[in-house]
Amino acid sequence: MEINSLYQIHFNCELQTKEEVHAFIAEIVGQDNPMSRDEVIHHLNEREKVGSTLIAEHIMLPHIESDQLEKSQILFIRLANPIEAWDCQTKNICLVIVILLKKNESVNMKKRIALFTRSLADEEYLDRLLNSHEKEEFINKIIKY
Amino acid sequence: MEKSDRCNGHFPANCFLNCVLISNQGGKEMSSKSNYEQELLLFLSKNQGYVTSKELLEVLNVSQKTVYRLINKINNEYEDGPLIISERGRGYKLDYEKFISSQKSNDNDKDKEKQFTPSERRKRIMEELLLSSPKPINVYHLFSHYYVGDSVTFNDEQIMSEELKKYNLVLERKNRTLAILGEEVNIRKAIKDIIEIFNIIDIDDLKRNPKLNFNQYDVLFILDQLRKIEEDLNITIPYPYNVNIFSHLYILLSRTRIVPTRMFADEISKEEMENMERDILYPVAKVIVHNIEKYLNSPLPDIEVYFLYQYLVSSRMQGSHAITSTFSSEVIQVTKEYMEGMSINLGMDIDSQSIFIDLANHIKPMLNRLEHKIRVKNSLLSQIKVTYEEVFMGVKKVSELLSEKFNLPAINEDEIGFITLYFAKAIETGQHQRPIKTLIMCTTGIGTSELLKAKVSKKFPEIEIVDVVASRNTQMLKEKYADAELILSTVHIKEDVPIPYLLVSAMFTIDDQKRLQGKIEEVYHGN
Repeated sequence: MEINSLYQIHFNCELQTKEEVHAFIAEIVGQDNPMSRDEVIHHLNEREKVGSTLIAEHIMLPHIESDQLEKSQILFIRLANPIEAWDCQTKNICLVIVILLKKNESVNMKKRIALFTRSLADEEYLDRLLNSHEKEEFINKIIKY
Repeated sequence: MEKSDRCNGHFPANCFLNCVLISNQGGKEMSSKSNYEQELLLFLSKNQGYVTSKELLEVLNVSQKTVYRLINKINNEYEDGPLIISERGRGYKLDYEKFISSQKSNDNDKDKEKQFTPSERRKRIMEELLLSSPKPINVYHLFSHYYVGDSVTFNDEQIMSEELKKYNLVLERKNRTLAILGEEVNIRKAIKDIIEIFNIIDIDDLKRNPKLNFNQYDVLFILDQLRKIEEDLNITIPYPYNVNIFSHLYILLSRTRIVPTRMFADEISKEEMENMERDILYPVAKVIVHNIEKYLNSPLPDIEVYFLYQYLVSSRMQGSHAITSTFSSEVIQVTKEYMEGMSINLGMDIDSQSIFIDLANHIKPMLNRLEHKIRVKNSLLSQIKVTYEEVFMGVKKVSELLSEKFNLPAINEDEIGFITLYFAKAIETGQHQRPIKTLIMCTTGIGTSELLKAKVSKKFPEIEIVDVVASRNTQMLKEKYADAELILSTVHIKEDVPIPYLLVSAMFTIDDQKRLQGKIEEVYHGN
């Protein structure tokens, strides 16, 4: 569901593993962009290889940049059930926030995304996101930023 | 004093400093314990993890056996299970929560004791004599509670007499009575030093703590007067100066009820009176003394205004009057000498304006305290000495030189302890060091790196974030950011980077913070 052009929210997603999450992201990206499924998954895996994107307990922040993206987006994927084993080190993931960055994005848009990312340093904000169990409530929490 | 964000227990020195500057908890009852016990507890409290017994015996410079004995003693004295946890192969660790709460509760235990040690007995007797000075009190009445014989009584008199000499007071024996004679200023000073309670009170705690045995009406009245002083001057009077003024007023009330005021023998020069009357603090002192007269329903001599005025002048105040950047040339000179002396002593540059202003605001009332022999008890002195030994010794040395150069009275250890904290703060907050120019990096330069930037700038003021960059072309970095000294990255960099670099997680965990702290020290050291 879209709440504005930048954010997209997917609530109660029945995904069991990291691979399923990656496939789910690839699917969404594929709908609006010329980027292939495999490429998206490849990018996500490459990012994971160089360093974990776990930003707080229960929250991942995968992010990719590509010239095959038509527009930049932030996806919220709220899992129906926590993923117990994301990988051998990362456990118990409840929320995945994906940043899709278009190559050579405008400075304005970059600033907007950067502002959002910075807000994730606020632990109270993260707690509110994690503890919002209703979709409407969740959306309200995000719009505040 | 700003409270550091990193005050989370993982940076104990910083944390300790803040605690010292903000509250008077802690050291209050520690001074009565043996030095070793205190040092041991302090050392453990500074270390988060386990400490081996080898480390302990090296730090304390005692035998293995003594370490065991000390730990056993501490644990036995603590009622709710061991205060120091020991684990085979790992060593010892302090149960921090218990440690903190034991410090608070220990104060109350003393009330249970009804048996007095000889030194407690003498203190209580001196207290009674001082409060009623110069009136004589019958010896039998003084000693009757303690069931002691004539030889003990005689011995006590000798010891008290010696003690009182320090304050230029005389213990006079006449017809089976004792009396303390001397100037009022000295009597008040002795009362304040001898009645230990004045050194450990916490202003916020006064109203609620019935164990302190203060007259509750007096307490409320004085707290009200303190508030009025603060309101009138639009300032706040921080610890320990508020306690000092509180004690002064409390003693004034107690003294006035017992002794007719006209018996005071002190004299003040005309010049000093004129100086006082020109000061903005004078009308405030006058109003407060007038309020006390009404409260006691008895007139007070003019000298009380002068006494109170001296306490006000000698207090450090925070607020519009306090934040002054105009200092007398003496204050400026003394402050500068301290900063220069400590720069040489510690081998680092201390020239920041903020340290100067902070320190000068302390030095100004301190010079007045020295002149008028007002001593502010530093209840954390023993902790300061242990924690900042080097700095303390440095300040002590510089103080001695200064006293000589500016012809000041000797600067006592309480004052040296306070000044030590200003330099300790400078060291801990790294105010003396330039910020480290840092780049933050991740794959896109916008995802985890922006997040990391927010977290780092909040917790590490010494890091100046120059830019947030993507990890694509690390080779370009040196050209574009020629003066960057450190890269913090959430992604692993494969190529060689010509700039020191540290990999941290996007979570910026405590472990990451510790490693960054280490890296910062490395960068400072390498230069």
